[in-house]
Order: sequence, then structure tokens, then C-alpha cells
Amino acid sequence: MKGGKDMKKIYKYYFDDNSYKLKLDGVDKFIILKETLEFNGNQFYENIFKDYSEDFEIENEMTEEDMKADKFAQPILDMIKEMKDAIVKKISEEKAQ
Amino acid sequence: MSDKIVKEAIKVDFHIHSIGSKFKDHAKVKDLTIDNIDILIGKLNKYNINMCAITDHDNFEYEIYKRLKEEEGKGSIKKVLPGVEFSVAFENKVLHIIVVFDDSEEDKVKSIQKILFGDSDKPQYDDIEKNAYTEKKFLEIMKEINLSNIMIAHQKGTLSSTGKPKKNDVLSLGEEKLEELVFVDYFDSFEFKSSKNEIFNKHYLEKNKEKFKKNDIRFITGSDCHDWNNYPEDDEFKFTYLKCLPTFRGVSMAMTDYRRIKYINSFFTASNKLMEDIEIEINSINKKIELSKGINVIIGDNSIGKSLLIHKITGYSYLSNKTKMKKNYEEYLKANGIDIKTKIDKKMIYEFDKQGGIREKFEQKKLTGTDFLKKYFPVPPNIIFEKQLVLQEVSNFINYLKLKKEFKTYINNINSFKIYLRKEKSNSVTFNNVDIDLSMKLQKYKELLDNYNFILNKINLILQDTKLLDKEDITRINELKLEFEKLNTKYGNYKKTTEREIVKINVINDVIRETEDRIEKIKTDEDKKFEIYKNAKNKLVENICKILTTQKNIEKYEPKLEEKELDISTNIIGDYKFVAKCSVSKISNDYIIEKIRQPFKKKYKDLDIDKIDSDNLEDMLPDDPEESDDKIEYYRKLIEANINEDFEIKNTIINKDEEDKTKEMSSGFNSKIYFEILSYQDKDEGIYIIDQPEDDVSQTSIKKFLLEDFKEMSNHRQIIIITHNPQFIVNLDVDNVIFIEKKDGEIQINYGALEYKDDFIDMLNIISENIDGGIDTINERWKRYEKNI
Repeated sequence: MKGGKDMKKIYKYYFDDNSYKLKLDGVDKFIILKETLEFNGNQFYENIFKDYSEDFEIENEMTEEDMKADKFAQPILDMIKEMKDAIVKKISEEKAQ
Repeated sequence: MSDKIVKEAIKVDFHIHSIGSKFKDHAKVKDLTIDNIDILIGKLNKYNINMCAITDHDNFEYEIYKRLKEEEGKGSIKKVLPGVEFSVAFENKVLHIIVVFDDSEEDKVKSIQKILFGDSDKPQYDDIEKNAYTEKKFLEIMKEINLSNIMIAHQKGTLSSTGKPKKNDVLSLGEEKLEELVFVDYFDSFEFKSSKNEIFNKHYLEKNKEKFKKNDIRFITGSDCHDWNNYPEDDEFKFTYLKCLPTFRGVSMAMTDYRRIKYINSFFTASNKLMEDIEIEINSINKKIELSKGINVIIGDNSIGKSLLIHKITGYSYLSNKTKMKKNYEEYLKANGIDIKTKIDKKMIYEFDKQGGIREKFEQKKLTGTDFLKKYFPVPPNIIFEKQLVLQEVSNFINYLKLKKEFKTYINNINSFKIYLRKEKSNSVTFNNVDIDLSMKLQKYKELLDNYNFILNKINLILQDTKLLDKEDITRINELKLEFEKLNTKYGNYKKTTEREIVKINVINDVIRETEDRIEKIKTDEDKKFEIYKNAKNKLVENICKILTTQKNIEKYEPKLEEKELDISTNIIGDYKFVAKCSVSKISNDYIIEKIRQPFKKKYKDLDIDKIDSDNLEDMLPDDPEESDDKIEYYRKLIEANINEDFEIKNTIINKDEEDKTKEMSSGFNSKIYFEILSYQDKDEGIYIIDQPEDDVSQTSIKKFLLEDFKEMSNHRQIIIITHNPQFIVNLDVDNVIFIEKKDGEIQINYGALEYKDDFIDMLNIISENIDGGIDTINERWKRYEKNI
């Protein structure tokens, strides 16, 4: 992991003509195809949360213009963030118990 | 009554000197003359000596012997035997051998001195240098005397002494010679004097038990008195007691069995709960069969009435098939004119083992359930806490499996979904229906047209009959009619127009409604899709949370049980340890892993426990008879059942010195254990009655174990045995043999000690003639006495 041991993981959000993606350290970890708009739960768990130990960030690396050009880009980013936040919150709560 | 049976031990001293020893002891014995014999008689009675012999050095003073023998039956003296203390040269040493002779042939006894002295007036030694007989000469003398005899070798010093052997002792010939003489049974016993040597001699035998069997060397004491006034010359002297009849044969037999020799009179300690005799009337003649305090055996042919006798005197209390057997027995008694008068209370009986009774005791119930043995088992150890620890560890493992299953379920439940993003809401369209109501108008038109038609009908009626009307009026009426017809047409058209308008309004309203419905439907579908998407999203979030939480709790399972030895309760009875224990000796992590694997089929027995999960359990476990869905719970049941079995307290009997506490006695030792335990019980007095103890026991076991047990038992209780086995009679050296036979059509009962012999009966002959293998056993038992019995 870049940035040292104590640094938070940062997943980068971007999209191209075919899909919306999250990548970590340059490697695509999660992909939503534009054609199907299917959210693959297994991929999401296996590649993002399986080795989860602490909160991470999702950073949008697209420009405002890019975002405006694709009507789904923002809602999909929002959705992913919302899901990630919900999971992290619940796990933290359980940990606190 | 005559001394037919062994009732009391006999106190003996076969080593007393008289003036006859003058050739060796000279002045020391000058006063031990026949004139002073009363001094010795007084002393013998004072010390309650029952059997004695004056054994002078290489001499036999018949007159002194004869005088002493007159005392038989007076005071304590029951038997005086002739004897000599021989000086015999073995190699370059001189050994002193006490020889006690049979007293039954007076002439031969009388001639002893003559044989020793020859034509001389003193012993005729052939080893003049040593003042002794050579062994050859000694044996020639013995042959010439030709009397049954008992040879007792001097062994005043203890065999265990490391110092120089005492002069004239067997050990002075060297250990090798000693072993040779013991091996050939040259001597019947070894004589010692000092009381302290008793323990040293025992120690020697114990130390050399590999070399000598227990019965190979027998020790007796002799006072070796050379001063009658000071008899027995040693305040601490321990006399020997023999368990036998006060006869030469009795002594011969006692000398061949170390168990019949003691230095304190501890034979026959049973004082209560004894039967003195059995009183029987046979064809109106009363008979009393004396019973010994020790071992009484009943022998005789099959069906002669042996078992009947013991069942009858115990009031048939121990019969299993009471009614039928009792009837048969009573018929037999009646048919043979027998009335058994002796009856004993059940309280007098310690145990009564009917034929096959011991086998039943071990077969009918488990070892633990046997009433007799039950009382010897200790209070079971408390291992509840350890069991709980084990069961808790099993629960931990089962919970681990359940968590693994749960985790797998969550993983399998991870869902994918179609993303549904809601379009932005547009300004909503409001639909208003056409609310123009033309129905009233239409109704007015209809009413107006109805009135016009009414008027026109009336006008037409008027015009049909114009007779009364003038022309002008007719014209005017026709003009009126025309006007009304115009009105009718005009408003008729209005009505039609209104009707068409109404139709149009209805159509428009229908369209508006349909449009409204369609839009509403579109709105609901969107919501639904969104709802589904939202739920799927939430479900995924929830599932991932569960997975992460469960994952955190599933660690690799490792038992964490502290190793602990489990308590065992023991109770030592004689050579046995009665043990109450469970089958597991200690709990540990290895034990838990073994238990986890135990229910599995053979090929999975060594499986890594990490590989166990709910999916493969069904294959690994035996079929579940209840076919329950929860395989993990079924698995738990199997593990717990095994643990329950492991922790079940079981009673076992093991050898006392058996280090391996799990090694148990085989069932073949049942009788051995039983009799041994009986023999250890010296507190519960009472008679032990047993019908055929030889049942189900090998000849070797009888010889090796059972006889010893019965002899031990006879020291503290009266025993009555029915047997057909000669070992139980001859090798047991029983104190009383009761022989039942049918002679000339009548039941006859004879009894007496094994060594008993009178003008009419010789018990050894009875045994040899009536017991299968009896003669062989007698020969085996007395092979060393073939020459003289």
C-alpha cells in the first residue's frame, strides 16, 4: 500500500465509455458495466471488503464536466459511497459494542 | 472321642538330650537320667508340650524313651517318638541330623541302640577322626533300623547370615551343597533355636524366592536341651506348633507343608459360629460326625447325598429350585432311613456357594452388581468438574462449526442487483374533467317538445272535425299548427345538438380518465423498481456487515483444555486393588481432538479438524437414524455420547502391584479373585460352605492359587467343602475328611483327618480308592516319603 502503513486506503472512482470503476493503486477493483448497470455484490465484497480492517476513502478522479456529461456518473458514485459508509458505520458500531 | 480329626495345633520339641548323649556331652548330661525323668516330664507339662522326642547324640536310650512314653495321654503329652541326633560327615564337615522315627513297631525301636553301637558300648563311627558316621554308614544304619522317619538338619545359624557358618549346620557344607540337599528333599526340615532367626530365615526365603519355592525349606525349632532343670534353657525360645494329629504320620505330613508349621499357635482362630459336629441317625442308629475348626471335606460317589447333607443342615435356605429339590432330597433321606438332626441358622453361615454358584455370581450380574464384590469397591471418584470442562470444550468446537456454517451462508447470500436510478420528477400535469352538465337542458328540450307534440295532436283532433268551425278559424288553426310544427322542428334540432354535445363530453372525460390512470400506473412501477433496488442494496450492505462480523469471530479452532489426570478411587484387598474409575485417565487437548474425530467413519479418522464443516459432516458421520436436518447437532450428540461413555465410572479389579491401572483381570480369574477375597476376610466369622469349588477352574489354577486361599481361609473360619478333586483333599492337607458311601445297601459315613489311620480305616487309602486321581495326588504329595509311608 502506498503512503505507509497508517495511511487510509483510497479507492479512485472513474468511468469510461463502458463502465464505472473503482481502482486501488492503479488496479481496477470494482466495475459496473454501463450496458447492464448491474451491481456485482460478490465482486464488491471480495475486492473491497474481504480484507477490510479500517475505513477507506473513495475519491472521484473525474472532472466536473465529465460528470455532467454522464447523467449516471454522479448517482452511481453517490450510491457506492453511501453503501460503503453504511457498512463502515455498522461495523464500527459493532466493534464498539 | 478319639483324636480322629485335627482340632488343635500340636506343640512339639524333638530335640531334647539325656544321659544318652554322654559320648559327646560328657558331664553336661550326667544328671539327665531315668531317675530324674520327672523333672523333664514336669517341664514338658509346664510348657504344654504335646509331642516330643529325646534325641541323643548317636545314641538311643530305650529305657528313658519307654519311661517318657508312659506319660502319653497324661498331662499335655500326647505322643513321644523315638529319635537320635546323628553326627554325619559330609565331605569334610560334620552335620548334625535329628532323626525322629515311627513308633509303631516296638521291636525295631528297641533295636536302634544295638544298630548304632554294634557289639560295642558306644557309637561305632566309621569316620573316627571326626567322631562321626560317614553319609554311607548313616544311610546303612537308617536302612537297618528300617523305620519310617523324619530328618531334621541342624541350621542353628540363620541362612541369611554373612558370617562364618556355624559348626554342624547344613550351611557349613557350602551354599552349593545346601541347594543340592534342598533340591533332592534330603531333609524334612531345618532346625533353628534362636527366636530372632525366624525373621532372618523368612527374609532368606523371600530373597531367594527365584531359587527356592515357598515350600522347599521348612524350619522348625528344637530346644536342644541339655539341662532338664532349665528346660527349655532359653526364656525367649519359641516352640513349634504343627497342624496335625499327634501321630508320627501326622507329624510327617505337617513337616512337608510350611503352612502347617507355626511358632505361635494361630491355627483355628475361629471361636464363634462353628459347628462342633453333625448329628445323623441312620436306620435308628445315632452318629456324630466331628467337624474340625479348619477344613472339612465331604467326599463320596455322585448322588450319594453330599449336597443333600449341606442343604439339609442349612434348612434348604440356599437351594434355587427349592420345592423340587427339597422333595427329592426328603424322599432320598426317607428311602435310606436317614434323619439329619443338626440344623444351623443362616446367621452362622459366612457364604454358601452351591454347585456352580460362583460362576452364577459373576455371570448373572456385572462384576459391579455382584453383591459379594460390591462392598469392596470404593466410593467413585468425583470427575463431574472435569467432564464439564470437556463438554464445554466440545460446545466451543460445535459453536465454531456453527459460526463457520453461518459465515458460509452469508457468503452464499451475497446478492447482485440492477442499479435503478430515478429520473428527476417533471412538473406534474393536472387533469380536469369536462364538468358541463347538459342533461338538464336536454330534459327541458324533451319537455318542450312533448308539449309541442301535445298541442299539435290537439290541433289535429280539432281539424278532423271542422263542422262547427268557420273557414277563417280553420285557416287560423292551420296557421297555428304550422307555427307549432316549426317550433317543434326547431327545438327538436336543439335537443339533438344537446344530445351530441353530451356524447362528446363523455368521450372527452373518458379519455381524460384513461390518461390519468396510465400516468398513475407509470408512477407506481417506478417506485416499485426503486424499492427493489433500494432493498437489494440494503441487503447487500447488511450481508457484508454480517460477513465481516462473523469473520472476525471465526478463529482457527484450537482446544484450550488444561491437561489433568482424572481421579481414581481404589481399595486394596489382599493382592487386589478394587478400582472405581472412568475409562479415560486424563483430559487434554489431544483427548478433545480424539473425541472430535471419534464419530467419523474410518477413512476420516485422521482428518485435520480445520477441514470439518457442516457441508462434509454428512459424508463423514454414520447415518443419522433420526434423519435430522441439523447435522451439527447430530454430530454434537455423537461426541457427547462418547464422552458420557468415557466418563462412566466402571468398577474393575486389578493386581495390587499392577502399575498399568487400565489393565484389568481377565474373567478367567473370577474364581481366583473370589477365593482370595474370601481368604482375606478374617473379621466376619462364620462357616464357609462350598459345593465343588473345582468347577470351572483348571487343575493348574487350583494348585497355584486356590489351595493357598483355602488354607489361609481355614486359619480364621470353619470350611466345609464338597469335592471330587483330590487336590482339594490331599494338597489342601484338610483337617477332616467325611466319606459317605453305600455299603450293603446302607449309607455309611466315616471321617478323620487326612493322616488318620486306625484298625478299620486309613483315610489315605479311602481317598486313593474312591477319588479319581487320588492315588496319583497322594504319591505326588508324598513322593519324598515313598520310603516310609
